[in-house]
Amino acid sequence: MTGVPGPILRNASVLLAVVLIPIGARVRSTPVHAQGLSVPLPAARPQAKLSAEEALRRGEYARAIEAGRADLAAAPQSLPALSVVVRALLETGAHAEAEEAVRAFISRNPKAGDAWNTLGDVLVARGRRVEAEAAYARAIAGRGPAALAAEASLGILLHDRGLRAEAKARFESLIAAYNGGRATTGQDLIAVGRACRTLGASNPDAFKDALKAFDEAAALDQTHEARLRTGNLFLEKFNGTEARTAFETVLQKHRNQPQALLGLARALDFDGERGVPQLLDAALKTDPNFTEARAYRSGLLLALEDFPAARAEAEKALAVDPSSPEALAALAAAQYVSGDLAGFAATRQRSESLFPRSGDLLVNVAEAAVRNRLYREGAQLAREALVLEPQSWAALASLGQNQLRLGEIEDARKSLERSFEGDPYNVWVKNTLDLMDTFKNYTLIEAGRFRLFLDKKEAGVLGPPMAALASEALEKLSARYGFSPAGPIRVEAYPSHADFSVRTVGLAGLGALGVCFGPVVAIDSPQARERGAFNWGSTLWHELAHVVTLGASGSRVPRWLTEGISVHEERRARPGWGDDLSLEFLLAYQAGKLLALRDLNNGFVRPTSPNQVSLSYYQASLLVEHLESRYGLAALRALLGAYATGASTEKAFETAFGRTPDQVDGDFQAALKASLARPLQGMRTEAAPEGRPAGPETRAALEARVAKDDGDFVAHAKLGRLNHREKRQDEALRHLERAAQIWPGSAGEESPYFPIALIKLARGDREGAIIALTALVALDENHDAARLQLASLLEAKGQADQALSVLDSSVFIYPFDPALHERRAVLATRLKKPAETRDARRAIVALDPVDKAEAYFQLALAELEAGDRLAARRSVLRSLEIAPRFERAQELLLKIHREEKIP
Amino acid sequence: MIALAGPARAQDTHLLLVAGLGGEPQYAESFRAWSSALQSAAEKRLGIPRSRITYLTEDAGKAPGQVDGRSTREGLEKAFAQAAERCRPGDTFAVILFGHGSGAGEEARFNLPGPDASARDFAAWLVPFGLQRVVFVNTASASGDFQKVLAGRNRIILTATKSSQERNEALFGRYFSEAFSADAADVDKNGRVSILEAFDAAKAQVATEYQRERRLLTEHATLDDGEGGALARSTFLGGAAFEPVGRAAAAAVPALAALEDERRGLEERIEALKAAKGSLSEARYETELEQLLLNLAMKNEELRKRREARKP
Repeated sequence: MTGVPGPILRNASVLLAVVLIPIGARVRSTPVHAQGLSVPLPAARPQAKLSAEEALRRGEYARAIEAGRADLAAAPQSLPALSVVVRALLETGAHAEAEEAVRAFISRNPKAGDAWNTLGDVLVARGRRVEAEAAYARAIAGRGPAALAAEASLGILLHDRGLRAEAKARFESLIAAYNGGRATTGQDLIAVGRACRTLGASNPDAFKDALKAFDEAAALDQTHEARLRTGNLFLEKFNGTEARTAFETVLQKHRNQPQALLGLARALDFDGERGVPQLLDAALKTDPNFTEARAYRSGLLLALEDFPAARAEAEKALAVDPSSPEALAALAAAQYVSGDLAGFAATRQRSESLFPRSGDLLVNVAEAAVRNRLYREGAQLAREALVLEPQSWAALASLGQNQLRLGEIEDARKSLERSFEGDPYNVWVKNTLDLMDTFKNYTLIEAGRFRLFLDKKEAGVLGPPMAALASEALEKLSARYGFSPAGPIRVEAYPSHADFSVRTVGLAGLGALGVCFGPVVAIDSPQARERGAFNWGSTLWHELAHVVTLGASGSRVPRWLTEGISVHEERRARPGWGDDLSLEFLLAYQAGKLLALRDLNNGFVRPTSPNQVSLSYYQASLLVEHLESRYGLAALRALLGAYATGASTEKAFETAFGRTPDQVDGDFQAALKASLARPLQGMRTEAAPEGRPAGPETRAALEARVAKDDGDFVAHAKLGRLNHREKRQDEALRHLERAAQIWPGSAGEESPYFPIALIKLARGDREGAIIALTALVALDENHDAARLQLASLLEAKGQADQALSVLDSSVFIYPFDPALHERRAVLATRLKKPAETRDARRAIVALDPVDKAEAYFQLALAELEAGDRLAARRSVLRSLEIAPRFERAQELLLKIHREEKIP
Repeated sequence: MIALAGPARAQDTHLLLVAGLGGEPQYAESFRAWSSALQSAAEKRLGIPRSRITYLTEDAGKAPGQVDGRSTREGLEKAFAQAAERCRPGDTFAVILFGHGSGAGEEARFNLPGPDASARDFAAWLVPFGLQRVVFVNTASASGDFQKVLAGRNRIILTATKSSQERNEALFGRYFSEAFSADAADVDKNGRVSILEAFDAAKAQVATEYQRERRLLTEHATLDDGEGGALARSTFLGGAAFEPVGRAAAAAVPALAALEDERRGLEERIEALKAAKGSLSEARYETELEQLLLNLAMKNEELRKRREARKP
């Protein structure tokens, strides 16, 4: 067997004793195939039965049903023929017909005990669990080939109903049957696997046994069931890769197999890949009454904040199976997240009457709440789940993750450790605990309303500017939106992007730069990415805007709105911060690929192309900008306030703007069209498939383009860069300047400004270089090289104040460069700005320079100049501690003492 | 307090500077510039007489007055032999190589015009220097394996890379040379740059340079002196003549000599206090440190004043 998901061992945790005798070690008493062939069949029958079974395996349902019925007509006692017909009907959603077929069979064959097992399966699918229990009991009493399957099914029903001891006894009898060599068919082994899977809730090792049983069953069973159960088990144990393999194996034989399609959708969702809704559509096309698929679709709709649709989908599922735990959980989640707490309570009660000791529904609702940014509520729901089911490892995991999101670090650790003890397969929990083990390398700095959780090596450099920026952001944002969060706000910065990713989603690989969990914000530290890849200052500002908008809306602000406000606020915070109009956006607009307001959440939650997320951020920010300019800040505040009351988007828009979302969107589209008109005049490039410009073009092609059309921005920009690379600077400058003239707002990779500046600089045209670089830094928040160059030019020109300001903006890109702070310190000293000099000197000391004695000495001078004699005295002592003979430091120490008359 | 006994005679530094095969003009120019800068600093800042400096380059004809010969294998062998004759017990023999490297283990090579010199060659040439302190600095790429071949008692071995696998052009040589050309590397502010200080400064500058260029660090300089850096910390290029407060000069004036001894005593107490830091409360440590540093500062001030007063 390959791919057994071994438990993820932390600190050599001890697993429980194995329940089963290891399957691989068992000696089979009867060869499998001999067993299968030991039942004599009529000569003509195998072909017909094979045909129906094969048709079902391949997904040819009509043929399978027709052939199966023909088989039944020929042999009215044939249980295999009944099984094929019923499975085909169930897989295509014909539940009533399936029940009719099996009941007809039973009426013809009242002593056929195994038919009662089939009836039990049909009744479960129809949500009639009590009747199903009775049917399974009759099947068990019949002692037929399906008795073990019935035993497992009954045990699971009893387990779900809270009769755990009785269920466990039945599961143990299955294990005894297995260990005694009595579980020999695929159906038997699947039954054993199901029993082990359920026992796995209290014994993690039992999952391995379940997997082995399913694996063995797959070798014997002609249906897809064993592989489907294998796939689902892998999914439960966080192994998306193996799960995909299992589902894809089934789909290779039966491309429309609904359970495999659902399984694959879940696996893709697990891996954050696209195509999930399409797979669900395909599953529901095959089986429109597939309750689990509908429940899953409901969850997707809920993540998109389409509450009515999510609810409708769950209700459709419940119409098919009124006792489906997945559908009940989906309905409860939709009700809870949309603010229908009475409806939620009723659904919860309904579920608890069916499944009195299961916390699953509440865990599901907790996770839905978290997806909708209701972290505190998520934690509370997880706690309530634990009251129902104290050994719910999922509830403990959910509670721990939410406690961590809320900054309750030690409580989180305890919850997660308990969860991991019970379920050592949970990769999210394992990763998070591993991350928490590194917290000893961090320090917590109290800075006013903020608690900065920073790597000890970074804290000295990052802490002071972060504290100042966070404080400024909170003050300004709170004033604008009329909301000030209660209690401290925790800001965490991770020097490893993988750690930030685990902190955020439990797994590595997240593309984001920052995340907000309400009172807790986590970001990549500037060292987590390549220098110039992002601006930590604007990122922090963005996340703090979320803190305010989540708070102002009771965490019920739609995703597009909170993101739009955050980007809008970035742009307001500092020149150049926040997304700007990009070539990519213009091309997407030109190609009609932007989303309508109603669908804008999809761009964040379920993007259909790689660049749709970034496009949606920018679009949302323009929309917010439009809302503020058209209706005023008060209306924007009213909108958040309306969401806080639980209003739908329709109602919230009516309250805030007196217009429908579609009307607002219409106005916005008109305004957007007008604002993009000028830059669009310069766009000629045919969009590539992803909305990106087409690939490299030859010089001749580009020259032909500009000759034909002098207003072609892209052609001029490309030709300019090409000439610049080839050192044909006259031509380069001509095309680059023309490009800048056509679209002065170009800030992306295609921006002409940096090469213009370089060419002008090389020619001694410093003023021209300053103009180009000034334009660039006003648009591009990350261009460090442009800032450093511009500062040098401004300084040389005698504009030290502006030079210092430009260098200060570089601190938000990469503050770990001692040369940057040295330049800041020198300029600040020249400008007689002692506080700024001191800050820069402190950063230099924190960067642990080689010449620490000099760095401390310079800091002491700056501190003295800034009026902080005590700090100056401490710093000069540190300098002399390193270099006792350091004469200038000795003189400073004497000066301080003599001036203070320290004995 | 007992003043430390002065040396019977000043220990001399003998310097062998080698610019190896450049291969390409820009490398040849870099190696020449770095080695030439160090040669100049050795004479002008470190006070090593020209007679104790041997400078070999790839093209000796380019600077006939400055260069002593070609950096061939034969030329190196001869230079080592001559140095062995000149060096007296207790002297320091410093070999500093600028160039490219290749090979691995004992066959790790420093590239020269003509046959290369291997680590094993250098090991053989260093055999006569058993009574001297040896500073061997190989700033070439792929130089890491020289360390284990040459390591020994009273030897300080520096290489630009940690192994022979780091084969990209190394920048260490440039910054090692620069460390002796300015005061920045003198982090303990005693007026002299020790081998350890030069190493630390160069290593840090290399890291900064790579970071500035947004490149992955492909050279990791290493130092081995068998004493965890203590030997390198107390080893300098140049003799005692460059002691900032001239002990010999002070000795000529009894009052100054007494002050000098008191200052040394204070320095020793400061070092002792720093060594005991872990066993003291923070408050006590800080108080005692401040008092000692203050006394030292005053003592130095007095020394300076006295010296100023004696100037004609």
